[in-house]
Amino acid sequence: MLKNYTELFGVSGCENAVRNKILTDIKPYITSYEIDSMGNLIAYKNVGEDKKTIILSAHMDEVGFIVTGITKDGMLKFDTVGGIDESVLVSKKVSSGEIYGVIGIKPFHQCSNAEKNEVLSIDDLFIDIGARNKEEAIKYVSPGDYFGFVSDYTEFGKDFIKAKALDDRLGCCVIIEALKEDYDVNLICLFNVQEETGLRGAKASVYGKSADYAIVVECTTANDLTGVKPNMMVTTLGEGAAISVMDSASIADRELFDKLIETAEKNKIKHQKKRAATGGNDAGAIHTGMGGIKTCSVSVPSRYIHSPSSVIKKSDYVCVRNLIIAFLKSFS
Amino acid sequence: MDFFEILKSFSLKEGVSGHMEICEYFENILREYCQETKTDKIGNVIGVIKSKNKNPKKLMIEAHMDRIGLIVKNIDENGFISFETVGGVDKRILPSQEVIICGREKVFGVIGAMPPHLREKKDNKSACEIKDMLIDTGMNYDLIKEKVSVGDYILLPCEPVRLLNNRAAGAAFDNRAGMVSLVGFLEMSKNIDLPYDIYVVFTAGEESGLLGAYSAAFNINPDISVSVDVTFGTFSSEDIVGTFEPGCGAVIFRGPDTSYEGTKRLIKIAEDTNIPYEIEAASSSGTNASAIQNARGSVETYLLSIPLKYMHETVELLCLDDILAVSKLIFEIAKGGVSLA
Repeated sequence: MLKNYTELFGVSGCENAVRNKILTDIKPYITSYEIDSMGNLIAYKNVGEDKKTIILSAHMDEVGFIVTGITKDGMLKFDTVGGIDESVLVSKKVSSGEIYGVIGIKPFHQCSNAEKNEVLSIDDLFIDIGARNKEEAIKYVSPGDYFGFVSDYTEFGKDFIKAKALDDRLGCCVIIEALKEDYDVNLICLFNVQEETGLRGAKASVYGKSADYAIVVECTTANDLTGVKPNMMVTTLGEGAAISVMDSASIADRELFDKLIETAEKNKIKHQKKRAATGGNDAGAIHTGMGGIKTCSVSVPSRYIHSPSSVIKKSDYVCVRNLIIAFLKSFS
Repeated sequence: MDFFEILKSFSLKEGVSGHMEICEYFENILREYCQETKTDKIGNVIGVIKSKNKNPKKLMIEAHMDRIGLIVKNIDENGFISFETVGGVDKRILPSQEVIICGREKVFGVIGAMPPHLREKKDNKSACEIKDMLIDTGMNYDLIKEKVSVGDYILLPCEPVRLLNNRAAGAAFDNRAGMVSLVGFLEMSKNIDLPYDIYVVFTAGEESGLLGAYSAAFNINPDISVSVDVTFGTFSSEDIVGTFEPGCGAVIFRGPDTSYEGTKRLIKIAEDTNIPYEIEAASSSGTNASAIQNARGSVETYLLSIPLKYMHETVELLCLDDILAVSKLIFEIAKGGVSLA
């Protein structure tokens, strides 16, 4: 399932393929759904008006590229969609879902010493699709078309996974798996668009929804590498579901945070706290929605996030999934 | 002959300079066409096709088999691996690059780098240094040390893809594309009687100083030699002269490293037979041709190159038509119409 979802093409603004697959997978388990004009998929699993309501939220989009122009040599000028560190763009394959392209640079044999040490900005980078000139390129690509990373889902090492878009197909998969079980609470599942471009889908999808709690299921930074000071690691792979205290867009609701920790401990689910207040996710949009909703984020730790080769530990994904399900089941 | 499929299978094979295990695979490729094959002490893979002529001259046709890569320098207490480069590897291509470590078994890894805002560096605009990079294999020290050792070679793989206009991009086209052109020539000349004894060589160690070419030429002692390598593809239309547009054909080298008269005749043959070509000129080619030229006495040398964009990156880009043009020119030389030897 993780393989199928991470390999789908779904750059912010162009999430159709992901949404279509999610809908197919969840239909047997939900009461109803709607797709709003931005493309957010909102799924309802109702048990009764007298029951509590919980929002589960994940975003369908991944970071990628949008074509902004075509040079006379047939090369594609692009902008990044979502935050991508330019240093990971060099020498990579990309795909529009229909054609391939590559981002290559001037060979270092031809570079000056200063150039060899520079991180090129996106103004200096192009996608090469093999077109000889603009007239040719324009038959296949147009400004406004999207390209995403090419990266095959790979299981490696001891229980590790490398893939693109773990952020946040993992969150989508957790919610899909959670929907397959039955609970004594109403669920509103927000599969959001455009999180990477500023939590934009969530702001729209949460509108008009009222809930007792909202949990954002995400993927968060892990810098647990040698040479990184412990206080800079944020989260550690293998230490379980990461529960956020605070990030750049929201502060977790203390009551919900404590309830999640309690659930994890009671069910012996490995968990850790996110040890930084960096990064922002849809919780930022949700917790201020509709006059305020008690929100907290639960994340899978990921190394090299926002790159074509993000890495997670499978057991951490399982912990997040189990924690969400256990939390939902704790209401009766 | 599907050049893309052959290029893809060659590109996916290991063989960083110094890594000898690749020789058997490529010797098997030559076995299909050659009467005898062998791998010499330095790792050159050689195939011979004898001529039916009396007292034939020797024609050596070579392309280097080695590719740039990395080598394991250290395994730290957390299982992360530090490395050095082998051959000219641009450090800027490494962040977020997948690797395969050729240890006791093949081990997959990812080169991660500390995010810029966490690095204690001068500023965010400097490229990450190799000494600050680590390979993540998803294993701790105890697990990884059973599979990998210091000195193991590391591949920078990138599965080739087709692009528009019969172009392709992928890793190690320098110089697996050159090797493909040799296979193209062998296919073309199957069952055709040629005037020379042909020595087809997949040479070792070019990326580390043309190492294999010297010994191959010394041992074979050819009269004529054709080297196939890659040359700089044109980056943009405002590029400096001396780079070549993929699709322009075979690039014929003129300079002290190659035969002045022979090359002139080769150019004429290319014209007469409508094989697309361009001319590259420089005082030195930086290729095996220069090593072969005076390795043992003197050799009449030729150098043909395939235009390659993004050289030494994992997304090297070429036009498959150019590989065919090179195969055809090799065939013209092998038929005896170029050299006066």
